[in-house]
Amino acid sequence: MFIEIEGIKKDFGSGDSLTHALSGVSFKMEKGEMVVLLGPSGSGKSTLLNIIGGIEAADGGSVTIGRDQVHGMTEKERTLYRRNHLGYVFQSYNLIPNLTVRENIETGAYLSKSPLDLDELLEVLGLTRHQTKIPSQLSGGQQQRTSIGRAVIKNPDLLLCDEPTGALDSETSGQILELIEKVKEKYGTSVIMVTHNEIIAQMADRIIRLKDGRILSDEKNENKKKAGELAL
Amino acid sequence: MKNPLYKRLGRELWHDLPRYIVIFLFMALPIALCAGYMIGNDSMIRTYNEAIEKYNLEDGHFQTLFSLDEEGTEQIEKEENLDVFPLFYKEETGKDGHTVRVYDLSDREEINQVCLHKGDLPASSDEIALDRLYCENNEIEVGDSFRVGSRTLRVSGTISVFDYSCLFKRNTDTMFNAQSFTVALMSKEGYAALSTENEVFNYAFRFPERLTEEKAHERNLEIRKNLYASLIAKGNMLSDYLAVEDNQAVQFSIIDIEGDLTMMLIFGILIVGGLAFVFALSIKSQIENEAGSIGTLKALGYKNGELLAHYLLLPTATTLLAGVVGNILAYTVLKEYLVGLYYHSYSLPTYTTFYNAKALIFTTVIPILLVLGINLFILLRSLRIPALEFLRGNLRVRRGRKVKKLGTGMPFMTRFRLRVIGQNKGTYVALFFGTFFACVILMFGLMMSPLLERYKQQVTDSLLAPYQTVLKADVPVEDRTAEKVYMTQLQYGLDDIMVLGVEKTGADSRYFGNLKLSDGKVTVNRPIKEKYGLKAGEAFEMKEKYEGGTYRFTVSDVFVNDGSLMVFMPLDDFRETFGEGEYLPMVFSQQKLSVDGALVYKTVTLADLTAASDQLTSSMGDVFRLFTLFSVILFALLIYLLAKIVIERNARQIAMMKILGYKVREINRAYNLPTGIMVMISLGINTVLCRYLIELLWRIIVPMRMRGWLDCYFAPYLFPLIAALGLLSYLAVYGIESRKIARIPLSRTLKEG
Repeated sequence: MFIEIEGIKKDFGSGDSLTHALSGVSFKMEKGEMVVLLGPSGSGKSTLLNIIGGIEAADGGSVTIGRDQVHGMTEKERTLYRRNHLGYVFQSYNLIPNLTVRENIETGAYLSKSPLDLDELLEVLGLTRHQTKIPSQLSGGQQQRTSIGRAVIKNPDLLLCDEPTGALDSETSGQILELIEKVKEKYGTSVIMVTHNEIIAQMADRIIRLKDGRILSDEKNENKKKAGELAL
Repeated sequence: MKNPLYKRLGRELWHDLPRYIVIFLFMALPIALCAGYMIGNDSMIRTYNEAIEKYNLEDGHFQTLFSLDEEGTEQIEKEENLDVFPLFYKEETGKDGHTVRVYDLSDREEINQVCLHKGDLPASSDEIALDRLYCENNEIEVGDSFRVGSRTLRVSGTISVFDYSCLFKRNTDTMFNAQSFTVALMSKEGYAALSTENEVFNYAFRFPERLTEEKAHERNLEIRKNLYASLIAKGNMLSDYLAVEDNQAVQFSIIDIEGDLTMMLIFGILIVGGLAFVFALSIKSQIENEAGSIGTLKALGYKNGELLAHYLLLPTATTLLAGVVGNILAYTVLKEYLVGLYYHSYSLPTYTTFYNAKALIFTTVIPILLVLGINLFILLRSLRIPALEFLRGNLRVRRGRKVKKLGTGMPFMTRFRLRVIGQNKGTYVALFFGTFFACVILMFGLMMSPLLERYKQQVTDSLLAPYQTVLKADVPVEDRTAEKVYMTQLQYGLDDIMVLGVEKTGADSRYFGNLKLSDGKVTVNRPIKEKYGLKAGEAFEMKEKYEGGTYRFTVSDVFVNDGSLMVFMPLDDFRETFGEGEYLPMVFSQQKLSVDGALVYKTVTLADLTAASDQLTSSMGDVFRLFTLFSVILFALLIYLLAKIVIERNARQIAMMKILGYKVREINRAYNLPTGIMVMISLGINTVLCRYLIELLWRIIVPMRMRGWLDCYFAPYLFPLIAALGLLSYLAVYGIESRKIARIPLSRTLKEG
């Protein structure tokens, strides 16, 4: 098994304002698999993604990726864990505004001993002619492509996507999802994607439904569709 | 309804407390210094002006080679329409060879009256009152024994006399000397009991009515000329004439106090203006970080004025608080401290504090106006951007603007740092100017001690003879080491320059071996060349001190000799130029001349020549240290504030880099190192700029304000020392900012963005 998530718990606040964001979430994932965490706002899906990504610590439970136990890692060890294994894509892109498209992607390449070929990736992302622009000169879709480029150039074992199309129109969303699918297939990357959109979930190998910090269902997607076939 | 945005001000203040504290301290201290200076200086200036009448300050004085009888004095009073007061003094040697200039107390009943600081005025012949500052410098207390010549006296009290508010032994001295020179008072009997060998026949005078400066100048020229002629006619000689306006012992202190005030106000305005700019940069960065919220508020219908008022409130309140606290500090602590600095340099009479509204307004209203003006200018430009661009976060580079291309051959981190520098241009411009300002203060604070040490060494190394004695008459001198030259004084610029007629040079002379003289020309010594830029072949004009006649000379050579300003010429030319008898013999010797003391006009020794550097080191040492400390703190705080802006502006990006897997060390190299690079570049450029600026100002200001010459010298170690201090300041800030980077919360920062 590539990823094992066991009994993850996370609370926010204290006393009267105590909220159980995650109450013992467990699941496993194979290498090269695409898992969608599906649920409404406040279901704990982003928190779970952040815990898997090592940017938030769980109050209980364990996350194991390959041989690495995320739980109990120091801040430095978590940095190395993210550096060596993960790629991250956010809804709000989080690009570095004063770097060009090419340089933003290079921020990912810098971290890898054997990054993917940058020019080839720019071509895959459809950003070759925009590579010298800075984020404020790009459309939302182009910014998200750049963000994906930054995440995948280091050829991560696991790509974490937090509502990657949340800020995009349906046409651009379709293009971005196709890109994520292409990256997964071309580079064999495992993907965990957080979304509240049932249609997007149809492109996953597995769909895990969350509500109020618990897993409602964890099912193999028997009717898996290609990203291009989704009726967004 | 009140603007609801104001509700977040408290939280914002709390969130960013270190920044507000640093800026508050940064503002309150210079404001306190400015207010303290304004209150202290203003009080001292008023006390000084009142003292002119209170202590019956002379309008001038003159000295004669031989004393005048009563009839002679009355004749001068009548002919020149003056009130003349004999104010003789005797110069005696005190402990460690110090010069004690003793006056008869009873001569000061009507003129140049005495201000008693401690103890009593001398009543018996074995008592003496000494200058307050000299006593402080030499740890002499009332009741102590004090040796004057061969007599041991009791110190009855400490005093100051207004005609020596600054202890200049001679008006031609480069600097006053409160270390080894003092004015002293003795009773009539006590004074009479001292040897008459070194008595100077000094006469103070007052005009019967107050004259304008211009009128007084005319009268002085006229009186001086008349006295000179009438005394010569009677076989006497006018050996000195000094109008109060030209008397350094009276004027130096007030010129310094007034000059310091101007300098302090400029300094205050620059600091507050700089901080206002830092405030503006910091708010600009806050606006960039809050672009989304601002865009929403603008879209909701908030006016720019309402947003401006919100962003300006904390800086204005901080400045107001700094003004109030600065003024409280000024009145309670600093005024006494700053006035104390003057009392540590000058022998001023006791002063009264005058509270002034001007200082309060200047140190509260002007800083607020500065902060408001600079912030308004910068923020209005930022807030002019339409709501949609705010919502999109497109504040920094507008669409269509070309992005600077950086070659991909350049290492990624280098390009990254260049982008960070480009992004923070404004911040680094502020850093450049701030560093420049700090550098000027730091360099000035550090350069003075080695400069004075070097001056002392130069004077010691180039001393022509251990004893240089000016005689009142051309008498034979029995000393194998003695060489006689002839001396007169002419004026050039601010200086009374000694002109020497020399007979023996080269191998024939023990003292002027390297002096090259040419017939019909003069040789100037190096300080004249440096101060007035006179070069070989150049002609210049010097004025007679008393008669207003002028002499034109051509420079033939420069004599490498430091110390007093001197012009040399062949003796025959000298005699031809100045006629017979209008000059005095001067003897250079290895030991003190054994001639009748009554014939000695003055003796100059090494101690006299190095007194300037000793005095400056003593009275300014604390100020130099204060300058150094202040500028290092200024460096560190400035770097801290600006590095903080760079980090805060990029908090979201830094969080993202951490998520990507960048180590804190790598993020430091990306975001903190550019600040370090810019600090070192700014420091490198500014050190060179400051060096030349100080040298330029030195060459302009010193000839205008200071008699004599001190080389503007930068000890070679200053430059690495300044770089090291800058680097240390940066490293301290690097440590703080590095911890801050490590503590930037990942998910929350991204969520807040």
